Amino acid sequence: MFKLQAQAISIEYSQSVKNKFFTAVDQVSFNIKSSEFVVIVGPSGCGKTSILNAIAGLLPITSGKLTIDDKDITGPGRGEQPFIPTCSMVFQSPALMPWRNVLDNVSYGLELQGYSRQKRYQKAEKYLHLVGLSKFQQSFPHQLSGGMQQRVNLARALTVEPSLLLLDEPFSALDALTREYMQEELQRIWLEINNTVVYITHLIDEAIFLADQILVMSASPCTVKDIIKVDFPRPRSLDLKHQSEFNQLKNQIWNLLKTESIFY
Amino acid sequence: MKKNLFSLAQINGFVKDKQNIFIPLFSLTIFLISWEFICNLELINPLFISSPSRIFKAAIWLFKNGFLHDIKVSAIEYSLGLFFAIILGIPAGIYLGWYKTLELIFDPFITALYATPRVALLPLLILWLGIGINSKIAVVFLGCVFPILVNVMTGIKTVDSTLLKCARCFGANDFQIFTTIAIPGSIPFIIAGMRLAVGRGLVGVVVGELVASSAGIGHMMSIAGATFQTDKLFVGIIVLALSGYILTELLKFIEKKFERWRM
Repeated sequence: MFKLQAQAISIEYSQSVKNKFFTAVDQVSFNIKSSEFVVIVGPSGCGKTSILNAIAGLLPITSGKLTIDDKDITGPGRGEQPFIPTCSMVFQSPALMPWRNVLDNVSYGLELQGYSRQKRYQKAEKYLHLVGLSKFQQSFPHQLSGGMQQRVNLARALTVEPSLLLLDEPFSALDALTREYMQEELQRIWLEINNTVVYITHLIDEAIFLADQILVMSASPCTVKDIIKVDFPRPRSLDLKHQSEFNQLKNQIWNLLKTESIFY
Repeated sequence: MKKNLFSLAQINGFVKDKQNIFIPLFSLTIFLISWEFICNLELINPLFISSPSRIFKAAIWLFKNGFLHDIKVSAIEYSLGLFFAIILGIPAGIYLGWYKTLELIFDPFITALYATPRVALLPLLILWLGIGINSKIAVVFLGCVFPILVNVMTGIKTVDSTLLKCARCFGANDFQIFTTIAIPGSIPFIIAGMRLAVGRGLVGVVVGELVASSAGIGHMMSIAGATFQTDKLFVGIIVLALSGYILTELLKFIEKKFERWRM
């Protein structure tokens, strides 16, 4: 049994001009096992985010079958009471509420589900500790650096304890050095909670460093070009990026992607 | 010698610290003194420009002869108009910003009324509501409600879409999104709207009273103007300027309280 299964899913957008349909995702299939770290890599604008939105239940698929734990995804609410989010999302921009301090931002998901203040703070503190921001509970977002804001973004997603964590290019707005460091941090955090992760990026080395399985996508419409297994033992260190096996894999993926840029 | 230098530096530092108070105070004093001189030497006819001492005398006379009542009337007109504008403008702005259809329905009216100088509606309002305080409340209301409404609407419409996505992901319903994201997110816009409204309301009250009224600061000024009592006119102007200044400062203070809300 797979955690997340996509069978020939397509996503189309209606364009207001002349009722034309624009196919963003075309016949994409993949299987993701429980506790697997899957990275979707592809050129920007290829429709990766659409897939993620569909998994989160924010965007309906046009055809095909998309299931979490063998259940169809009907919407983010899923009609269950009490509502238990199966997945939560980490966004490209931190998307924090500037009027709330870090603790209240992180416990937002639990607040929506009606947890008591004490309970939600307890969990929020746990995950803030995990991302290394225990000292900043009372800070406001504008007082934090970009990397720290992304940690808060991550902690907010983790606090609802999702069995499926979706990350949409979470480090792409960070500087190169912070990004490398955050990749290692993410691996450390994931090894601790060990849930299923779907991670989107357009950086090949980021994909190889983090993934158990890489889905290489083509651009416009988005289709699966290749699925690559990555077997480097964990925990991986950033030095791995300078080893020859790593670079071979990088070249392999680059060859798949280099003709795919939509501006090529 | 050394000690002397030190104290000199201290004085220098003190002056620099307080220059935000001293320099404006100084320029104001110079202005008032020259005004008094020009008038006393009759370089310009005092009938036109009055003088600080004459204005002061006129103010004392006015306050002894029922000016407080005029101020009270204007204040009531102003605050009631603003109050209604706030309690109607904010919820209306929220609804219109949230529901596209509602916005489309009301858009032509809002745009037309927002663009029309509200004082142009005064003759009509006086015809409907008389020359008492009701027509003034109405004109203040009309002056204040649109800046508030339009700003709140913009605030609701420009709510961070990623934040909305985040809330939806967590299974938030519309009401929760409303109270946790849309409303707090538009607080800066609400304050910006209020700032505009405060000024517009003051215009409404004065112009309303100048056109037709039975009491109020504008009423006093219109009589003083018609009878060439320049001193009293200036008293009215100063009272209005002061109230505008105080209201603006008050809002600046409120705005500062919400400073951390800014991104």
